[in-house]
Amino acid sequence: MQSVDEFIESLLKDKGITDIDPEIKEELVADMKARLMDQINKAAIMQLSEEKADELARLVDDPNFTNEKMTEFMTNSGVNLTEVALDTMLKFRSFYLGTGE
Amino acid sequence: MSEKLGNGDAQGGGQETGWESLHNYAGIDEKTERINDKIDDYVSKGIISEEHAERMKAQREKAADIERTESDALEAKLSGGAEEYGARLRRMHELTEKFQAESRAELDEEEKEELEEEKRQREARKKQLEKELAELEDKPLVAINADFTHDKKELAHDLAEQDLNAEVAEAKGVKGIVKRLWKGTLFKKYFEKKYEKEYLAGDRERDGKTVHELIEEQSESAMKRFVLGATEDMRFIHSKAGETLEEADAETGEKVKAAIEKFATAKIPEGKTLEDLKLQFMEELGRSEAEAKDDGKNIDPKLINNYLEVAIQARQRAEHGIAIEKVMEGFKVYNAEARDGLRTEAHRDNIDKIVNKIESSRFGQFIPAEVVAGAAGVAFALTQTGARAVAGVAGGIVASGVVSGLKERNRITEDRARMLRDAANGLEYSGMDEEAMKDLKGRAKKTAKYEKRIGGTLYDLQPASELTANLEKAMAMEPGEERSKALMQAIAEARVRIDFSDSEQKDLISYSSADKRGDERLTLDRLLIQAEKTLPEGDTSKIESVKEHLQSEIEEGVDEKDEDFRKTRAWLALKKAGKTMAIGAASFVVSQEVIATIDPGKIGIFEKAGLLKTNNAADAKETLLASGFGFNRGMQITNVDQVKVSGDDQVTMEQLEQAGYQKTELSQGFSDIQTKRVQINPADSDSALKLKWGWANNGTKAYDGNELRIFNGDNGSLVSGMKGISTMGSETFDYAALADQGKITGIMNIGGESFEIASRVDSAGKLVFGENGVFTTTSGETIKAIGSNGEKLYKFFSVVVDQGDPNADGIRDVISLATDVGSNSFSGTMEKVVETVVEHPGEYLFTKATETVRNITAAGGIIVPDARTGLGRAGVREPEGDVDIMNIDRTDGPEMIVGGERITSTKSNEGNETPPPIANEFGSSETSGASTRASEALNAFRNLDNAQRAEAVQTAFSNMGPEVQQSFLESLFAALLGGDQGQAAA
Repeated sequence: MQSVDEFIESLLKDKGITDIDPEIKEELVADMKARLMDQINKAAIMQLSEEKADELARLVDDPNFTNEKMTEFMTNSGVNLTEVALDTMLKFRSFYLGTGE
Repeated sequence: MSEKLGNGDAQGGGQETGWESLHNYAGIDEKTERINDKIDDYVSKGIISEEHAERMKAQREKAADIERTESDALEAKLSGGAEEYGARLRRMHELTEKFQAESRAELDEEEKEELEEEKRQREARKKQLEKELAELEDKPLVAINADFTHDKKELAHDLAEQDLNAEVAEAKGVKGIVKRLWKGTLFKKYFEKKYEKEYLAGDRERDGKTVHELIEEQSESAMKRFVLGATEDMRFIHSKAGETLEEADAETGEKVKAAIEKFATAKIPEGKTLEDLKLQFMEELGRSEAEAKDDGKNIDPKLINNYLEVAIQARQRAEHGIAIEKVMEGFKVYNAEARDGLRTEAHRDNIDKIVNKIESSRFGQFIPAEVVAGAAGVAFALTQTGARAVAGVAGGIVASGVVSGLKERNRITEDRARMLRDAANGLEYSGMDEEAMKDLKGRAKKTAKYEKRIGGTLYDLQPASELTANLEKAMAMEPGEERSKALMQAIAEARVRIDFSDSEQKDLISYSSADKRGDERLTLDRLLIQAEKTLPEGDTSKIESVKEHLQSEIEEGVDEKDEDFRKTRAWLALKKAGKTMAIGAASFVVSQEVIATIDPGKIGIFEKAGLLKTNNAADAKETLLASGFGFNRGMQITNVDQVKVSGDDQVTMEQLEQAGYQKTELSQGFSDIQTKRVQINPADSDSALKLKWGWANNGTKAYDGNELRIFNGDNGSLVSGMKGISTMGSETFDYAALADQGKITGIMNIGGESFEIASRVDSAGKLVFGENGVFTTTSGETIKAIGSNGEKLYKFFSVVVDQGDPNADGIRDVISLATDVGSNSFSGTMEKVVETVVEHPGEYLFTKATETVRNITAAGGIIVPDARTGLGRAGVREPEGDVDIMNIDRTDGPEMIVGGERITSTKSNEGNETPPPIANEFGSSETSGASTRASEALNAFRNLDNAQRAEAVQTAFSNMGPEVQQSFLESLFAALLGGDQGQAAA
């Protein structure tokens, strides 16, 4: 996901983390990306309505409920995923840079 | 050492009855041993003297005697020896009094008090033992294996929440601010979950105890309820709350029964105690459970059971001489699921479960990659330009105001849930009065105000102790009508509250503390069932109507509180969101959640503001929802006081202007000429002539071929060339002179209809009619009158002298000078090019916002800006207290004024004169401020790369309302087509 990598790299740059070993940087970016994705996932789940949360809680027990089906469910869940993702990213950034509102 | 009583012997001594092998003397001896060890320890440490130690040991021995006597007395009762029982009791009392008299003289105050306390506890224990033994006397033994997972999770959650709140509250300084932000706000949910999991896993403890241990301590009452449910009445099981009680499988039953039988009949080996036997019992059971688990059976070692207690009861009965088969008659093992915790939940369970599944790595990234990439692109762009202005270009995605409103709503819901739980656990919320609040400052004041507001929406709880007392009082009354009434009322209230709490997961009963909860509930349950059994038969049906009445009152009360809460939550959430919106970005995103928090039917503010102007419920809701929040989903005040009118509807425009609406031109009017070719049947043509014919001759006497002075032209035309004079009677016609005067013309007859044909003059000065077989009438129709093969399709063609204008009957006089006869075989149509003028009247917007603003602000509402159309929107504010959301008055045009001053787009711009950021993304507004804003936005857009632009446009489009989408597409296509009307027409 090139845009997310760009976003994370800009974060590092703004943080002043520029002169590091490429391998370490790659690992750092991967780690931050994983944390960010995790937070986005959770933020999206938290926005589910009661009905949708109830439905998903039942679906996650089904071994046939794959990741693809999870994606489809979340896409059609009524949660504005773009808004959630963007908001989480901005909050992630502002906290990371210490400019929290 | 111990005194044994024989039958009738009240003085002590007597024969060995063999009781000691069956009694719990071992326990009493162990206790004596422990106490003596302690005494010796005190001596070795110099705390007490040896003399004092000896005295204490002697006292202990006497106390042990009394305990043994007490035990004997009760057991005698069980074996049916009432006389024996009475004798032993008397003996016990005598010994006790003697002991006390002796001891008292030797004791200091503190020791006396300890002794008294010991006595009290002993008596209480005695009573309890008697009670329980009496209850269990005739009942079969029942073992319970209970799952307290639900209660553990609730406890873990509560403890996690408390830990986190404590951490955040203690956080100080700059690091504290970060900590408060990180753990207290941004990722509070995450940390709560984390701590909760740690509690459940046993990695986090409270006061040195795990959650399992804490629940185990509190489980006693619940276990008793399960036993009573199995042996007496299933109403002890709170099935509506989700509790279950089912008989375990036969294999488990047999295993546990065998272990209990073994324990009950085992002799205590030399050098061992009863405690050793108990340990052995638990180990063996645990081993068999582990074996069962190895066999693939699903055994949860963390379940709580009462096997040991049942085993002890069995042993006690067996020790009284009851055959083990009789003791174990009817023995069963039950599996239970407990719901002993409080009923109130914030619907967390489902979310918890899903989050757990996510964290267990079963699911990877499930937000679509393109969504994340799109958001990342915007986030990147935002942070690169450093201005929230870019948000306008990117389609108003930034939703800090809305999302913060959402977060606030969740927090408020959780806070209320916590307060309800606290209230149910005996932590009274009394709120703070206004006077006391005046002394508070800053955050403390805000917190107090907030808590008071939420506190007002808590349910009306009734203490369990009061419900119990009401039942007891009613049952103690003398039989009669008063008793019946009192009993029915007390039963109905208790039963309705219990059932409601269980089924609706909303506690309507409070307990004096979390620790006492289990006991108080059990007491209430027991008394209620007892009371229901004592109800006279005639009252059993009457009580149903009492219950129904109470139920609806309670439900109404709960609904009212819930409704109050929803409104309160909406105010508070909007207040939080509104602050951000008024101060921060000027672009918004629709949030269904936020909109859904407002039920327009209940928010009187909108009715007061006169925004309800329709009887249609759906329209009303749309209007109010739209007016309430300034989001882009068809929410415009347009529905209420803005009207779009077409420029050709003068009547409506005048009416609106007279009604005080302000007119704004949305699009200019223009005229458009369109041409098209039409086919006309000659018989239907309007240009067919009515003629009166005259025939001139060419001056020759004979028909000598000179009459035809019409020649075929080279390219399918007809040429008229005549010389000389023609005559008709006494009239003469000089062709050349007449041609100079323009009086020579051509008439073509097509299918019986005559048409004047236009001509031109060639280089030789001759009149030429038609070209390529196509002749044009002077009215503009064209006729293909000569075929490609040269065939003349007309009936005839004449060159005539036009005698002038038609007469009153429309008839024209013509004198034919030469005539060419055709085949009269024309069967086609004439063609005419028709021009149409199309008027586009333009569109105007009529707004009466000023009046609406006044109405809304007068009623307490506010207007927040909207970046998309620059129009004002109505919102809400708190009905009391300080107004944190600014009132915005709207003046002419789209410019927004706040309290007389222009609002700014970011906090950092406060104080300067930058106009509000209200231009739409793709156009410009008429105000200079909006133009500046628009050009900034455009520049920022240009700085994005193509992929980001495409994403920004796509996202912006998807976030537009239908009307804006249509307008956008029309503008886009108009731009692409370049306004080429000719091409469009073709």
